[in-house]
Amino acid sequence: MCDFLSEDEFDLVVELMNIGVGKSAASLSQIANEEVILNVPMLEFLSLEEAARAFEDRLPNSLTGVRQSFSGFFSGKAALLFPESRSLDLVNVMLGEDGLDVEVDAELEEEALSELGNILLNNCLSTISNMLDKPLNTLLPDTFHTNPSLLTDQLVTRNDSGTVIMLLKIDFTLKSRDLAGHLVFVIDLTENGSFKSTLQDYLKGLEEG
Amino acid sequence: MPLKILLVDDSKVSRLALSKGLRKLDDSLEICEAASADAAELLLKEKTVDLALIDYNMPDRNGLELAEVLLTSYPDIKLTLVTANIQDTIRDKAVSMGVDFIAKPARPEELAKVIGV
Repeated sequence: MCDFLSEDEFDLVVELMNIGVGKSAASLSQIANEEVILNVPMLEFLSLEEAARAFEDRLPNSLTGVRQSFSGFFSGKAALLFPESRSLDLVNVMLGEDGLDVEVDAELEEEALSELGNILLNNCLSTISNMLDKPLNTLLPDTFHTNPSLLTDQLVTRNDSGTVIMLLKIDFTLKSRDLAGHLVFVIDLTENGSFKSTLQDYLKGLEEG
Repeated sequence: MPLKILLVDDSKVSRLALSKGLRKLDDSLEICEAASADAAELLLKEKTVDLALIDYNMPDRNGLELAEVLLTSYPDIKLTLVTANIQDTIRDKAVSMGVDFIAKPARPEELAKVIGV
């Protein structure tokens, strides 16, 4: 499975992320007033070089995104990414298209992305925190513009050759708007001493009933 | 008398969305906005409000830190935390302080309950 997690622990991480992202998708569906289609999560343990290649292979060029750092029983960065050309659509998703009395400018586009990221990333992280009954600290989200080749540097806090990250990527689509986005969680496993023990405690609790 | 509401959120989009949602429920509402806890305190020195909807994750001071001050200085204002940070620890703390809690994105029925329509 992987050097860091047992099969059960791996399954638990996928399940936690499924539930967390499911909560985010429900919120996005509520905001956009339409169904959100979620792809199956892709969970991998990668070196930084492998992660960089994965981003380049699997993400569109010219991305606009919002990222949020979190720390606690696991630490890292979560990001919500969209193709840069669709940033105006995000304002419409957030505020509706029915006669808003405000001028849509670049600042409002950034604000819309930031708030959408705040809701979706916090919903997901909070749901995982609640399930494991362990608090997480989240910092304020910040927006950024990037391309896949630079993304690793922007989401990894440490950059040395021994770093192994847990990369979880989930794609989602707002069908009627033909708008696809990507949720990416990058967790530095070499820095997360209590992550594995938290998973083990949860599994033990399940076994004990 | 129209209900006077203060929205405290560092996100302009969030304030716009909340304001729009509230006005759909009652277009007579008097809504004012503050982008930070400090701005909210300054505004309350000049304006009276019946209800404050406060975000949690804000720069400088979080929503519960602001709520703690407002509960002492303005005990007549009804406070509601409106946040995407739906961790039980935060919800429980809000409730123990007597502050209502709404998860973002706020549902119309939850906003209706808060403003009593």
